[in-house]
Amino acid sequence: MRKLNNILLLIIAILLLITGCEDLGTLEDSQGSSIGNDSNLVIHFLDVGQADSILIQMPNGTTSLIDGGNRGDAGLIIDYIKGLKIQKIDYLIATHPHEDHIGGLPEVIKNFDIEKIYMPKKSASTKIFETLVAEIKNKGLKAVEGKAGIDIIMEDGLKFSILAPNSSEYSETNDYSIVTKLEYKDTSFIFTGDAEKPSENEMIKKGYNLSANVLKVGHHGGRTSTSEEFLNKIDPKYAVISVEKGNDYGHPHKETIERLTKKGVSILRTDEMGTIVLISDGTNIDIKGFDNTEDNVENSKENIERYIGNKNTKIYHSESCSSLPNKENQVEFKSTQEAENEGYQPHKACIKK
Amino acid sequence: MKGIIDRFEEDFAVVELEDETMKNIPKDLLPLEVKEGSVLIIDGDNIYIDEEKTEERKRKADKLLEDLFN
Repeated sequence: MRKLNNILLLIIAILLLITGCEDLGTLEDSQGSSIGNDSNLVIHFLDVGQADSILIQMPNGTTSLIDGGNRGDAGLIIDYIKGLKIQKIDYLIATHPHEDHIGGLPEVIKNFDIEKIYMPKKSASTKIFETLVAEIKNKGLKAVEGKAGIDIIMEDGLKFSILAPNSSEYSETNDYSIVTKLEYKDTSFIFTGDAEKPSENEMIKKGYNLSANVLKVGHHGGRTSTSEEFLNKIDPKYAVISVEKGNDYGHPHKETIERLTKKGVSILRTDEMGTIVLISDGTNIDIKGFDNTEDNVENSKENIERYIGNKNTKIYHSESCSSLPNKENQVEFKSTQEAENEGYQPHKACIKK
Repeated sequence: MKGIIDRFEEDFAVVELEDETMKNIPKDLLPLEVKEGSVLIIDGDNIYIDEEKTEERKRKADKLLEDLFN
C-alpha cells in the first residue's frame, strides 16, 4: 500500500514540478505562487517514514541531499530525484552513521553523479555503514569531514554552511550529526540531523547566528533535542518534523511539541502532510504537502490546473466548463499562460480573469 | 541468528539482522552491557553479546573510516 501511495505521490510531484517547469518555467497554483522557477530555492522533506531525507534544489542550479532514509527507502528517493530530472547531486551530506539516515545512500550513490560527500568522522559497526563506504570507494570518491566552520556554498545571496559538530568526541552518535544552515536572500533554514542538547549547546556557545525561518527539528522530535535555549536562538516560524505515524519510539515527544507550540512555531509533520515541499523566492516561503493518503492524492490531482482548448475556435475552457468542444477537437493546456502562448483566447463564461 | 546494534531509541535497541533487515528489540531483553555496535547472538529470547565479533567489526569500521577521508 505504501508503495502504491508513494508511486502516486511521485506522479503528482512530477506533474507539478516537472511538466510545469519544462513547458513554462513556472507552474502557477491557485494562490499565484510558483514552483519550479529557476530562481527559487526548493526544499523537499521526503516522506521516508521514521527516517530523514531532504533534497534541496539550490537557486544556483546545484543540488544537495541531506541523508538517505532507511535502507528500504532507496527506491523512493531515487525515483523522486530522477522524477525531477536531476542526475547529479553536488553536495551529499550523511549527517551521522545511523541506518535511518544512511540506509538509502549506497543505492543513491550508485544511481547519481556525486560531486562531494560530507560525513562526520564517526564510524559504525553495521553492514550498512560498510556498504556505504564500499559504494563511495567504488565511485572513486573520498569524503570530506563535515564539521563546524565549513562553507559549502558562499555566494551573493546564497550561503550553505556547517554549524556542527564542534567537537571530535561525543558520547552519543547523534551529536556527531552535521548541522547545516542555508540562507537564501531573506530566508533561512537549519537542518539538524539528530543533534541533541550537547551539540545544540555548543552551537549556542560558539555564538553562531542561529536565527532561521525554518528549523528541521532534531531527532524526529525526540525530547533530548530542540532545547528551549536552542529554540530561542533560532526563533523559527516553521518547524519540520520527519516522523512516521505510530512509530515505536513515541516521536515526536510531547515535550518537544509543547516547546514548539509555546513559542508559536507552526509545526509541519511528514506523518500528517506526507512529503513537504518548501519553496523560497528569497523573500517568502510557500509550503506544499503531498499527503500519501488516497483522499489527499485525489485532492492534489484536482489542484493540478488543466485547461481544454478548442482547436477550431482557438478558445480555451476550464476543465469543468459546460461547453467543452468535442473530444477530437480538444487540446490540453496546463495553464492559462500556456494556452495564450499558443494563441488561444479565454472562454469568458468559464475563465475568470 | 546474529545482529548488530545500530542505535538505541527509547526502550528499544534497533538491530541490523544478518539479512540486513532492521528489528526493534526491547532493551530489557538485552544484557546490561550492550552498546551501539554490539554484535548479538539471538537465540529466541536468549540474547548474548559476541565480544570477539563486536571487537572485530569495530576495528574494521574504524579502518574503513580512516580510508574514507581525503
